[in-house]
Amino acid sequence: MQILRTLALAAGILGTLSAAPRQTVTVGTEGVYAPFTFLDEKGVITGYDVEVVQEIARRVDLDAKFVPTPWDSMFLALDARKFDLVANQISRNPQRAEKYNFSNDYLVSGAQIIVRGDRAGQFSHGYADLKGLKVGTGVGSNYSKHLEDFNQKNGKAIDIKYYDGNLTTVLQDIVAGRLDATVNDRLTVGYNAKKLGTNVKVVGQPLDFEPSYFVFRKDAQGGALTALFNKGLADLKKDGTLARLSQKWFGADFTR
Amino acid sequence: MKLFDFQFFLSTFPELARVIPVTLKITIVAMLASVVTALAVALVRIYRIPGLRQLAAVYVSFARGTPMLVQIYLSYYGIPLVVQFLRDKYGWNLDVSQIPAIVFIYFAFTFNVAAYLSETIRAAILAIDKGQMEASLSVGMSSLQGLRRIVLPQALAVALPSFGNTAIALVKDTSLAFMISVVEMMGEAKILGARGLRFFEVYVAVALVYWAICIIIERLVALGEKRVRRFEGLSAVRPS
Amino acid sequence: MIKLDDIWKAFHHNQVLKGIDLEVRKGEVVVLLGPSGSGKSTLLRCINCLERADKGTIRIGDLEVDTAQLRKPQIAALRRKTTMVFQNYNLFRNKTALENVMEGLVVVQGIPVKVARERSAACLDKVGLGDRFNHFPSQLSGGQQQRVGIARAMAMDPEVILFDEPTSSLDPEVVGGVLDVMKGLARDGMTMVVVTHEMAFAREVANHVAFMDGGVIVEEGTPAQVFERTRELRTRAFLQRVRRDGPALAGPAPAGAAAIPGAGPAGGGLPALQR
Repeated sequence: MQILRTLALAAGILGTLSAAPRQTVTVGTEGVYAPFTFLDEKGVITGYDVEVVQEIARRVDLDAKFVPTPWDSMFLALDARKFDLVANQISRNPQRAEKYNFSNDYLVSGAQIIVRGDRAGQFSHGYADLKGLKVGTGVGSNYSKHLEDFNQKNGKAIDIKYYDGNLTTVLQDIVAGRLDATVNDRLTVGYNAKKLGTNVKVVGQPLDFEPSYFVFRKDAQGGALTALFNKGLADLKKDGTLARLSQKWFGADFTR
Repeated sequence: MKLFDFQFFLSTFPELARVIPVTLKITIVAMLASVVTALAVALVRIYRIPGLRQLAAVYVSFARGTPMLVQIYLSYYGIPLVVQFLRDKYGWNLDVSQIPAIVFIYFAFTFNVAAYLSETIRAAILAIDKGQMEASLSVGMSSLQGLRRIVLPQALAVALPSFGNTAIALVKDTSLAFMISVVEMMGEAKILGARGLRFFEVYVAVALVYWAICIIIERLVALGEKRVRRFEGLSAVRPS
Repeated sequence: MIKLDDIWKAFHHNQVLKGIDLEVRKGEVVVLLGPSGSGKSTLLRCINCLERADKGTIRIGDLEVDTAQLRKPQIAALRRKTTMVFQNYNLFRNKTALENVMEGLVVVQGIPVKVARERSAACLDKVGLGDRFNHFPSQLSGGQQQRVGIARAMAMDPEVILFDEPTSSLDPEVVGGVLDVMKGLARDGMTMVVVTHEMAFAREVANHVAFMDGGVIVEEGTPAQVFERTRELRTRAFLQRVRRDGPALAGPAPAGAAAIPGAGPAGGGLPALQR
């Protein structure tokens, strides 16, 4: 009952937004984070996150428009209403949950240490193995937070180097020797190494298992949109589309 | 949700203050290196030294005609390639990956600012009456002595306001350094904003800090002008 | 002492000097006259290589230079023997009067600062600016600046001082003061080559006058020869024009006290030269 009422509210609110036959929903996304969100050879935006959003939009009768945005201004742009939601492998943490609405998860993946392909070492001790190393990370990402938290408890043992969030520059600097490692979703490495031939590899065990969510503003419209997306997502999970997309992009079903 | 979290706003200042030295370091190093380079380029063009002057003209055109950010990237990603090439060809042993990113910033900013300054200096030198150099030569000074003792001091008085302009612009341009992960004030602002998930407050704060630094530069330049224009005596137009 | 031999100079396609021969004996005052464009300033500036002559030889004392093959050391050597007083004074604007005079002594001649200061002070006293040592050129009048310029040229103790229209930029009232200083120099035996329009000065002080027109020396000789026993038509025409329009050349020089007022700007000029 509650769900139906929320949906009715959602439809009503969304209806006031524009008189067009099909509503447009704008989506903030990096466009440089393969294989989740990136531009193909023709310059068309694609990737796992993009296709999931497109599928959901189809189910709930919306038109999804993607707005490529640099990582370090992603949340700022969401606040400033440059788009309605963020689809960029966002993990959940208490700080974010306080400020934003989270959909249900659409992927569960693990953070792992990434190093240059020819680097020796087991890295079986997780973050502790990064002590004394130069580790690159994107400003404000969840990975940053984990590294910073570790540093706080361990006397700044890790030399954190901040980047604007574009993972490819971080990977490039690892290959160039300017960085020793980074921590990011293990699924990116497969794509980067295979498609672009970047000389990086994942090592050790996954450090955390983080589900990924879509993020919306915490207001009436955001709340309505969250509910709508959750409905669409539920449909995707039920009819197996989500699992299919995961297979397509990652070679396995990580949607749990 | 608060429109403006004043507590958070205040809390950013100590963090920003921590990296003011980085912003200043970049500004001062780049400014000093640029003045020296610019003087050389300006003299090459004024005295039409063959071979070098065409090179100087191309350099000034390119450095002024391409965006600073592009020059930063070319510096950061391009120089290692050149070094790699030299290493392969001549077997040099130079590990570029250990060079701190800020060095590439120094290089890129000097490359850029020196081009603008060289035009300022060239104009200032040309503004000095030819007779000053002729008088220097007529008492037996070399061109170099005449330049150093008579023409350049006067040219400095002409160029100083423009130097101040360039320095102030440079302070702002340092905000691009974070693009190659040098954490100066702008980078710190992004880190703080992302960490606290509040952006407006930290950008207001960093704007105020930039402004304060630029005001200090303005004051210093005004003081410098007063000193450097002493010889204009009572007939000088007072600097505002 | 100074010998210019067959000096040629062109600016682009304009032939400004066409084979000039000139001789200046030690202690002589030689005046170059002529209409604008005649090449007299250019000739003067060739002597200290502010202009490079295309062809010809310049000899000052025992230094002889072939202008077609000028080398840096030769230029430096020529400039060590000469100094110049400019129409626009060209004082070093960022130096005081005293520093202006000292500059060459300290930087070029390597004279210790204390000695240079004393000598410079003496020269400034001599030109009547003893109370203006620490003024910058921007704080001096035209006449005062030119006198500093002369002091600067004097202090270097050159073999010859070149004057390029030294009074042409001065107000009429102060011209006399500057000319008086120059007369004092001449009296003390300084070799001088002067480009000027001041005919009375030329009559009074010059040992030798050369009239130039169109890049050649049309006529030369003693002042009496050139002014009173003029041979060439061009010279005559020029002198008539000057007599009519310019500084007065009222026939024979007046006997007795100098006709030129010796009054200088505030600060006093030198007493008028008595004949």
